Amino acid sequence: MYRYDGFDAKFVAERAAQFRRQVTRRLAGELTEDQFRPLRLMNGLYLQLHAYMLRVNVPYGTLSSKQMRTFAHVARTYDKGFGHFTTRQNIQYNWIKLEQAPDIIKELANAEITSIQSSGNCVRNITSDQYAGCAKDELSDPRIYCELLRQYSFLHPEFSYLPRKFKIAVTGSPNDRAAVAVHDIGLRMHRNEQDEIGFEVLVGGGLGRTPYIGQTIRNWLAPEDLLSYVEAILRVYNMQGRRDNIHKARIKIIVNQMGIDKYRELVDKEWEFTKNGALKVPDDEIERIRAYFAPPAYERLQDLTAELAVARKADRAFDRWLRGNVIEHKVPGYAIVNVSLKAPGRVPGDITADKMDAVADIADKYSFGEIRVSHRQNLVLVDVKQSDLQQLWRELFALELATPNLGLLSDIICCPGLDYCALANARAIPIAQDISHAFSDLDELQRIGHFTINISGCMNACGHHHVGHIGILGVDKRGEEYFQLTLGGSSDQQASLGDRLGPGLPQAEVPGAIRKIVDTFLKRREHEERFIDTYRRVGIEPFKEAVYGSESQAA
Amino acid sequence: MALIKDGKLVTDPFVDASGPEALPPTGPVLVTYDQWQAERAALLARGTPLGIRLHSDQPPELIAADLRHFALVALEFPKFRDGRAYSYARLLRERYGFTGELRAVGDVLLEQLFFMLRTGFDAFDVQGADPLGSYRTALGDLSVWYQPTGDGRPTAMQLRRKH
Amino acid sequence: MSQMIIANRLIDGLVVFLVSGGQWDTAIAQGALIEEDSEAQRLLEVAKQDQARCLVIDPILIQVRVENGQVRPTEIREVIRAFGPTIRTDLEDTGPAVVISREADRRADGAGHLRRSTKE
Repeated sequence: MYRYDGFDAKFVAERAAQFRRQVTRRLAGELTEDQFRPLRLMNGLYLQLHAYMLRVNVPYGTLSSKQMRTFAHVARTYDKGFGHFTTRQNIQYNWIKLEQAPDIIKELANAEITSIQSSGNCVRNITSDQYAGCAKDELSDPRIYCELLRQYSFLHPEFSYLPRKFKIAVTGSPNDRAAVAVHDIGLRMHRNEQDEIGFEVLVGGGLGRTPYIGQTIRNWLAPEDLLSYVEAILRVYNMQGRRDNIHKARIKIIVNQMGIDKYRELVDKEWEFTKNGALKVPDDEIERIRAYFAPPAYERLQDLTAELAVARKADRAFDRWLRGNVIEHKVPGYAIVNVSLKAPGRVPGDITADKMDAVADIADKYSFGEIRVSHRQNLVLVDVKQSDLQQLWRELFALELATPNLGLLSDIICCPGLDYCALANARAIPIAQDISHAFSDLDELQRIGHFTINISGCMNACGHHHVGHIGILGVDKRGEEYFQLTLGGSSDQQASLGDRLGPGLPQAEVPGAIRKIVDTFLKRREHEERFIDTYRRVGIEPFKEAVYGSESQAA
Repeated sequence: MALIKDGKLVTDPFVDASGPEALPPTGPVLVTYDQWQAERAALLARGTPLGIRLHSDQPPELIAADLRHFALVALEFPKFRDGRAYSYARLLRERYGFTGELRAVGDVLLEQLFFMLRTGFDAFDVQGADPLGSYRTALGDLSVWYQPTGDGRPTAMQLRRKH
Repeated sequence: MSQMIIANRLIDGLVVFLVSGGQWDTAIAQGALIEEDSEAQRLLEVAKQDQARCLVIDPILIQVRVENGQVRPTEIREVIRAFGPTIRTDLEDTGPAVVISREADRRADGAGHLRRSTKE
C-alpha cells in the first residue's frame, strides 16, 4: 500500500501543527465559532449531539494493521473504546474533546492517517472498491489513481471553498462495488477501442435531498489527463455552482439544470486551456505510485477446491461462511475474506478497540498486514491463503466477526442517525437492530438471497437509502419518528433510485413491513431471482398492497 | 482594516470610489464594474492608475479584454465561504496574464491567506490586531504543495521528480 | 411545562445544562428549571454571554417536564442529548461488543444468537 515519503509526512505534520494553533486560538477566544467551524470541519471535527465527532479518512478503504491499531488506540485513549466505519470509508469517533483533538490528529499523522477534508466544502476522501488489486474481475488497480487524486485534492488552494462538498469514487472493475454512479464524480476504468485502459467519467451523481444517478460526461479519458480533466470539472463547478441555497449547491443540481451536454461543453472549453499543462501526469509518477501497490509476496499455490470441499462438508457453519463471505481472488490459492460488522442486533459498522486490535493481529497473521474497509461498512482481508481459511474462520467466529451475511438482508447499511448526529430527524440504528434481529435465521437469509437494506436518519442520505433494494428514510412527523420506505434502489453498475412505497410508518411497524415485502417477493420470485430483479419485473404495486392493503393503494 | 501587499503593511494609494461620493478629481481610484461600464471614457481620461473591483458573481472574463487599463483588480469575498474568487484569481494570472496588483477584499480570513497567495493574490485587505504577524504565521504554516498553480511554488511531485 | 437551557461545552463538546448559579453541569438533574418566559429569555442572554466568552456553543432553550421526579426533555432529540444514545445500556466503557439492542433486551436472546444459529 502507499507509504508517505518525506513530502507527505511533512505535509501532514505541518497540517497537524497548524490545526493545533487554530484550536489554541479558538480556546483563547481569538476565533469565533463561526470562524472556527470551517477550520475544524476541514480537519474532520464536527460538533454532534453528544460531543465533538472526529471523522478520519481511510483513503480508498486501504488500511495497514499498524493503522488499525492506531484507530484502536485512539478509541481507547480518547474516546469510549469503539469506532464507527461509515459509507465513505471513514471511521468516526463520537466523544472527542476539542482540547485533545490536536493530539489525536498528531498521533494519526504519525501513523500516516489524516482527517484532512473528511468534511467541509471540498473534495472529500476518495473512495474505491474494497477489493482493489485483488479482485478477479478487475481490469486495473484503481488505487493508483485514487492516490493521485488524494494528493491532488489535499488543500487545493482553488477548491477548498467549493459551493458544497465533493465526492469522487473510482472503480477498476466492471462490477461496481464503489457506487461510483452516486458520486459527484464517478470514474470507471475500461478499455477503449485501441485497447488502452482509461476512465469513463460520470458527473453529477449524488443522493441527499435531490438524488441523481451520475451521467457520462466523457466516455474515455487517458490516465495522464485525469487531474487536468477533474480540475476542469471542479473549476466550472466552483464558478457556476449555486451558492444561494445550500440544498441546491451540489454539482448534480447545476449539471441537471444546464444539462449534461452544456456542462460537458463548458468543461471541454476549460480543459482546452489546461490539458497540456502542468497537470499532465507523467508516466514515472504513475509508476512511482504503482510500485507502492505492487502485489505482496504471494506464494505459488493452487486452488484448494477439493480440500475445502471436504472441510465444508464436515462443518456446515464453515461452509456457510465460505459461501457467503469469501470471494474469489485473482491469484490461485488465495481468497478475499469479508469480515462482517453486521452481527444480528449490533450497530452496523461499529467495532470495539479490542476487536480492531484483534483484526490487526489477524491481518498480520493471514493477510500481509493489510485491511480494507468497504462502503457497506464491513472490513475485508484481501490476501488470505485458502489453506488458512478454516483457522481464520475459527478466529473470526470467536470474535463474532464471522456472521455469514455478506450481501444478505441483514448486511444493512446504516448511518448513525439521531442517536449521534445533529442533522438527523430520526434514529436509524435501532431500526437496523430490529431488522437484523427479525431476520437472523441464516437459512432464511440465504433463501432470500442478495438483498440490500440501506437506512438513513435524514434526507442527507449518509445511509444511501435511495440505492438500497429497500431504502428506509427517517423523518420527523410532528415530533414523532416515522420511516419512509423506498424499493428498487441499487448502487451497482446498473444503479437506480428507489421508488417511494407509501406513507411513512412508525418505528414499530417497520420490521413487519419488511417481512411483508420479503414474503411478497418470495411469492413472486421466479427461479433464483434476486429481489431487485423481481422488483424490476413486477413493479411496486404488489409490495404496496402487501404493506398498506389494497384500499390504501392510492396513498 | 489594513492592507498587506507583497508581505508588507502599506497605505492604500487607491481611493475607493465605489460609494455615492463623487470621484476625487485626481489620483488612483478603485471603481466597480458597473462604473467602469458607465464611465469608461472619463475614467481612462483621468490618466491615473485605475483599479476595478469585481463581485463574486462577476467573472474576470468580463474584463479580460480591458485588463491593460487596470493597475489593480480587487476580487471580493462576500463571505469567506464563497470561493469563486480563487478560480477568478487563477484565470486572471494564468490565463489572461494579468501582472498588476491582485487584491483580496471583503471577508478575508488569515487562515485563507495561503490559498489566496497560491492562486495569485498579492495584496490583502485584512483585519485583526496584528495583521502582519498573523500573515507571517499563516505563511509559515505549510511548506509542501501538491497542486501546480501559477505562483511558481514547486509541487511535491515536481520536487520528487528532480531527485 | 418548564424550560431549561442546554448547550455544548466548548472545550470538550459535552452536553451541559445551565445551573441556577450560572454555571454549567453535564447532568440534566442539576439544570435550572425555568417556569417564566421572561426568566427564560433573561437566562438565555446570560448563556449567550458564556458563548461569547468561549465557554459554551449554541445555547438554546428546550422544553422539559418532570416525570417521576426525573427531568426529561419533551423532544426525542434533546432526550438523546441529555441521556445519550438509545442503543446501548452500558455507554461508558464497553461499546458495541456487549451491546444488546432494546429488542434483544426484551427477548433476552440477542447476544448469544449468532453462536447458536451458526452451530446448528
